[in-house]
Amino acid sequence: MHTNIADTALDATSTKNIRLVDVEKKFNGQHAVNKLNLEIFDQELLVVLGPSGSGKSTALNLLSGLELADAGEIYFGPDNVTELPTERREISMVFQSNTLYPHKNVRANILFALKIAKVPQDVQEQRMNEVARLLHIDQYLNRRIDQLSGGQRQRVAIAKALVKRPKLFLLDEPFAALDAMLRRELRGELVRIHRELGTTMLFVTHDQEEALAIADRIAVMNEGELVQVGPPLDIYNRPVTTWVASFVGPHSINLLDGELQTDGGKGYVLTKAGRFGVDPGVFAGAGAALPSKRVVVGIRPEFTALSATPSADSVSAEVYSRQNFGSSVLYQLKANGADFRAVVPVNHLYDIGDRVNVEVSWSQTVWYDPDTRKLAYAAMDEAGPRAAVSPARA
Amino acid sequence: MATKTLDAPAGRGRMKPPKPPKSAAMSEQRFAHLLTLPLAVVLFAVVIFPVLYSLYMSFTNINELTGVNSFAGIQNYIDALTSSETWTATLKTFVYVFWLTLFSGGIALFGALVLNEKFRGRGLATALVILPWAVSLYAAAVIWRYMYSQQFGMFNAILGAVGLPSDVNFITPTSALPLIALAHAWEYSPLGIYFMLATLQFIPADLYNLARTDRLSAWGRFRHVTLPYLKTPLLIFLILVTAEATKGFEIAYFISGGGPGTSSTHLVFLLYKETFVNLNLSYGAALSWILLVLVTVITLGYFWVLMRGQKKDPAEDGANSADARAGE
Amino acid sequence: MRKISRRKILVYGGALLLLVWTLAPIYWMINMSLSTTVAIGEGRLFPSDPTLCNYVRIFSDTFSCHTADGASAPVVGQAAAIRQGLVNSLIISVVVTLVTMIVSIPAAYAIGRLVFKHKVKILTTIVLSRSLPPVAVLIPFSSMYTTMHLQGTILGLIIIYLTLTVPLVVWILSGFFASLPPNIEKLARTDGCTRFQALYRVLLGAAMPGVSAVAAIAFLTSWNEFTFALILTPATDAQPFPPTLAALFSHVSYPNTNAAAALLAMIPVMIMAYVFQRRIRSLNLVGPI
Repeated sequence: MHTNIADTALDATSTKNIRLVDVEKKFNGQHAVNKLNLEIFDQELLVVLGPSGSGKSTALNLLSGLELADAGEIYFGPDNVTELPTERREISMVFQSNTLYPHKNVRANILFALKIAKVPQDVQEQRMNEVARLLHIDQYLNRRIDQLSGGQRQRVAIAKALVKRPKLFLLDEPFAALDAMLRRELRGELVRIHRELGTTMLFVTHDQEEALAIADRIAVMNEGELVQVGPPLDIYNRPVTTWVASFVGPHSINLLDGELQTDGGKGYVLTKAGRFGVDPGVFAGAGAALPSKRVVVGIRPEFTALSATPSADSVSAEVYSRQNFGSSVLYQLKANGADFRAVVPVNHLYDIGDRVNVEVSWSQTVWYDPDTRKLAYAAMDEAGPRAAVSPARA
Repeated sequence: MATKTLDAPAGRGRMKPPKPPKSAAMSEQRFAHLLTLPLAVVLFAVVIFPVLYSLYMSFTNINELTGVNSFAGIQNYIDALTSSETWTATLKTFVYVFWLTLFSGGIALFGALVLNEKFRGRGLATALVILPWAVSLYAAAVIWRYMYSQQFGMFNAILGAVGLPSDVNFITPTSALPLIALAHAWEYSPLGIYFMLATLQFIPADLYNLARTDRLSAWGRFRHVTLPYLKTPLLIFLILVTAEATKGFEIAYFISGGGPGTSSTHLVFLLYKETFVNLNLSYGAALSWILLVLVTVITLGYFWVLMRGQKKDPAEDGANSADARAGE
Repeated sequence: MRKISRRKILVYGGALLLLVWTLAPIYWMINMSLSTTVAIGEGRLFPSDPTLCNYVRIFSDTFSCHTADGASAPVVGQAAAIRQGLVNSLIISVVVTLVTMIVSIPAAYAIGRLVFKHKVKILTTIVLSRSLPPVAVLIPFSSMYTTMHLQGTILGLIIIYLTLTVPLVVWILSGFFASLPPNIEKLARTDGCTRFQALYRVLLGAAMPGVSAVAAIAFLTSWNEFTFALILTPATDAQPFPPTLAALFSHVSYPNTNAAAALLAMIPVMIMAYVFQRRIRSLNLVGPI
């Protein structure tokens, strides 16, 4: 089976790919989606990630035909569907919550599309049994919708979507209204089903954790524009702008304005928080990419370490506050008055007010041009860290 | 792409809407207009046109018998406004609105408060309360005609049962209007009960608990939590009652026939008499516009109170003051 | 302990008062309709020897029944008019309800759930029409009907009844459509429905509780209408039941038969309202003026 669809070059050229070409949509003169070019590979699970108002839902509605593009074209494989009404696009959709026919029972909900399409009775039954088993809803096929819990409803909604065997399966924040545990459970189901059936899926969410967790590829949108497309690790490790860097990741990234310096043959980055000694390979790479020596360095809190004793590369800081997550602790630090966040394993607990020394895993840092806020140099390529040695864990 | 050019004229036809319709898919606009077209035709035929026609009639002299139809200018209005009959009827209309408002508002408030309490048989009681509304105004009129009847009336029967004189004539010149209004209120208040009951059930239980933590007594909770919530629906209901008063023709027709004398001839009944008994259609049309203006004025008055009340509400009563105290 | 019981007394007392107020007038009609002509003159609070004679009498021009005291109750002689009135009322109410629903369902859906240009104009007209005094509406209709020869016809009444039912039903039903879960028509479109199919295969089904309740309201409204019928169909074959009943009052001097006739018209609507009361209560009945 396919291990990682996005990695195989073949999918990018599949004739079944779905393409948005220069698509534009305006509401009240404002661009909801601006010059969107995006290709959804056959059989992939593409997550469109963005904050509210980023145009991600509009993009989904344009693919569904529920909105029609003002300009540009949409292709399902070789077919131009730009003008095709929703009912003829052979798509499925799952909405945020409670979108099932309230007056029909589970069975009738699932079978409705097949009835409209006049699929023979025996095929209907057979397909319904398939999806019911797949989503573990066989026991309550005859229940009314208002007798189901939120999680059960979304299972039914997904079953209803899959039973049609759509060309494209659209999911509009399907789990946003569920509680955290249930959300993770259903995400897991979705990933498994995707692997099993290979349905092409487009999943819209504002939750970066969700995107990183399930996507084959992520398309990040902001203010109607597509900002970055790529596999989750690529988005996480090599965010193309400081905005993407702050938006994606379990903890808010540290973005420090600074200057590259050499002192006694060693490379440093001087920031408001203090002067960090930088790994030579990374220093050289960043220096080459940013000849002006002015930088914004992005340090993910999870790629730092704290120690009680200072080292040549570390910066001293005071613990301002902390949150214990069980396996890791988030420290909010003040270094020379500047905020800095560090997430470290719970092997030693520092208390509020303690002095600590911050060390950075330079092989996982990202460097931006302070003027354009665009990525200049990423210490890590998609495959993993360039320099394997992290000072913190050494 | 071909479809795009095909539909271009439609798009050009309405430049204003943000999204010009295009493509084989019907736009939401066009679909909505298609769905509302029958309604628009019906509304024009049975509401807009008749209203305009009535306005036209009020400026003419129509004689049903001879078919003569001449322009009268504002003569009908002058006649109506200079007739003492009109002014007496207007005054009676105000009196009628007053009684109807008092009875309907009081009953609706009382009924809603009772049905909001938990008691055995509450479901049945809530269901039964709708019956007067269902039997409608003319049936209510028939019923109450027999309630008040001197010969066969229930009130007289009760008086008789307790040994009092049982041939009281209830419908007198002074009592006619309030008694008609009471019958009218019997029919109309179920709507008010349901309306206010819905509001009461909407008050969050936590607010009462909060009021308890603020050590408010049962009366205090009613005064500071329940009542502020009821103020707006009560006012809205009273606006509706005013409009309802203009529907009170049949109730006067059955119970008092506008009398005794002309004691219960309010504008609506006068309108009926002038138009359909005296067959003075144009004059009736002019009168009906005067009535409409009057109803509008009263309604706007309520609206004014409603708006003013809502503006100063947050600073003052109930829910908010309970919140404020909790914050202290 | 004492405080709770005092509250209980208040609540039960209030409930009793409310029920007596609501039901006593209806009871009085029942009492009259079951009483003999002699008994009714005596002003009894309960029928002394209850009889169904009055109900039989209003439907028969020849039948005169004997009451318990042996007296023979005279023939009423209005049976044909009453039967005709009931049949007319039934025809008119059914047709008005059907036409109202056909016109109102699509429009209410559009107003409740779609965004379009003329919505405000339509809503304004509806509110306006609900605030018109019925007698005022009658004047232009009466004049127009004379020229159009619709005076005294069932068709004429059906048309004018639409002024009452259509605005009310559109208003209530649009609120009901708006309260249905969002996106279900979008879901229907992705299921392969056109906009029309989404409306009549999905939305209509989902709105059925509301649709049936407003249909009942439309029926009650036409069944109970009095003023229009009184003026537009006096003493004609087209006359529905309510003005027929009014005529009965002037022709017949037996209040017990009149009460029986009035109750006869009330019973179906009371049953209907009782059956639908939960649904009716959940609708925004008060709506526009």
